[in-house]
Amino acid sequence: MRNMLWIVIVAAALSGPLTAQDKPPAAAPAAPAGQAFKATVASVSGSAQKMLTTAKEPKWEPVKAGDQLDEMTVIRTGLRSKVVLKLADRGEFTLDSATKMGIAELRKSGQQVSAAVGLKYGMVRASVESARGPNDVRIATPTATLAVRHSKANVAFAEFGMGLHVQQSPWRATNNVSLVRTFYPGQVTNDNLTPWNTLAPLLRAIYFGDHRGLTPSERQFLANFGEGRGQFRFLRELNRREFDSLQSLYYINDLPPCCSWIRGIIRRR
Amino acid sequence: MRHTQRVSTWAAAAALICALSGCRQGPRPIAGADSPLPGGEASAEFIDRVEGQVNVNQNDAFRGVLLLLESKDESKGFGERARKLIDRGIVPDTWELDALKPIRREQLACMICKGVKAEGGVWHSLYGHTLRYCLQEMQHQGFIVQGLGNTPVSGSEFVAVLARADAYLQQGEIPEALKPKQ
Repeated sequence: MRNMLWIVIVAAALSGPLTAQDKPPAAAPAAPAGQAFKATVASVSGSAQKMLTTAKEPKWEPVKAGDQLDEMTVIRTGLRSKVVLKLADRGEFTLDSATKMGIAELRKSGQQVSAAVGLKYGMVRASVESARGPNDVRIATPTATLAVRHSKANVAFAEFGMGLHVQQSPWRATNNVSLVRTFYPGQVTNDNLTPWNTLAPLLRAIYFGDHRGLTPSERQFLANFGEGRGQFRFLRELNRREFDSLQSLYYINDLPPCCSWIRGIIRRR
Repeated sequence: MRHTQRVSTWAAAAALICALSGCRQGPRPIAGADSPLPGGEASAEFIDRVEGQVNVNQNDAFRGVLLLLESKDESKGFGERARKLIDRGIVPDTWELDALKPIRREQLACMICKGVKAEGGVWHSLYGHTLRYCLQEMQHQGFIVQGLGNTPVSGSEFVAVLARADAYLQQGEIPEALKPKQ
């Protein structure tokens, strides 16, 4: 009993200063490593505006070709507009019309270039080149983050969520539930990072005979088997380009990257 | 008795003629014709303002379509804006026009379908630019996500549809990354 009493007294003495202790101040966000550099506006067409969010009085200003953009700059474009941003000598971002994008990080550490941008809505065509050194480029959307060292892809964020269409070299995508998946040239995905072979049949037009709407299972059935209820047919015939793209989604990307010559043959078929 | 039969026969015939000839009401009055929008609003500014809205009203929707088709909107009010679109054949004068009323998905589909001069399928060709077939056509071509026609359009959906229509007008196709993925 006496031992128990001592344990309680010691525990109280130890816990006292700890509970009385003030909470440590929240750690300030660590500054990204490396030296900041600026992105250059290579060309502008249509209506485009920029805002430096760290300025004392942030305000929207028109973007002009040759402008140097710092970190924490937000750019927005209107309809019939396009802005091309150069990232030093490592590639470029092309903002399509009706797009809003923020530059979170532009850092250079030795030969390594790091860039992080956030896409709020619209579409960005990213082109990253690694011929002059290693890169770490990240594009974050509200639902997923994409990372790449050397590649080309179109990244969009719209009402359906994220859309990724890879055009060159693999892209690694991580979504909000920490699912990580890599996508290869020709493949498309959404913010669930749905594998391309699951998504591709669903992208076909299967609604033509649909009078009262289809349930998801009916849509999946039609996507898989291509028939269903209806007076005519649900599936319209694909035109040549759609057929080719579907073929490429199905077969060409099953090949290992080394077999580029086989891809050429299949594409010509 | 005979007179009643004759009247009902004439009424039925008139109803049939009306139905077959597409008997329509005349142009409806435009509610809120003086409703202004921010003047001198650049396209980028407009898109950013509308994107965050829960529902897009007809006034904003018409400005968006004018910016898409003409790159500018110098209209002084909703009435002038609506009149421009009616004159271009984008908006039928039979719609219930109200500046503050939310635009419906089928109405947006109809405007975009006419704006981008989309070619439709068999039924679309037969029936013309009806709300129903315009919506189906736009869903089919990947301009609008699948869904009901009579629901209001959200800001993000409106901006996405405009972006797709813009890409279609500029490049002749919608980029794969921008197409709805369901």
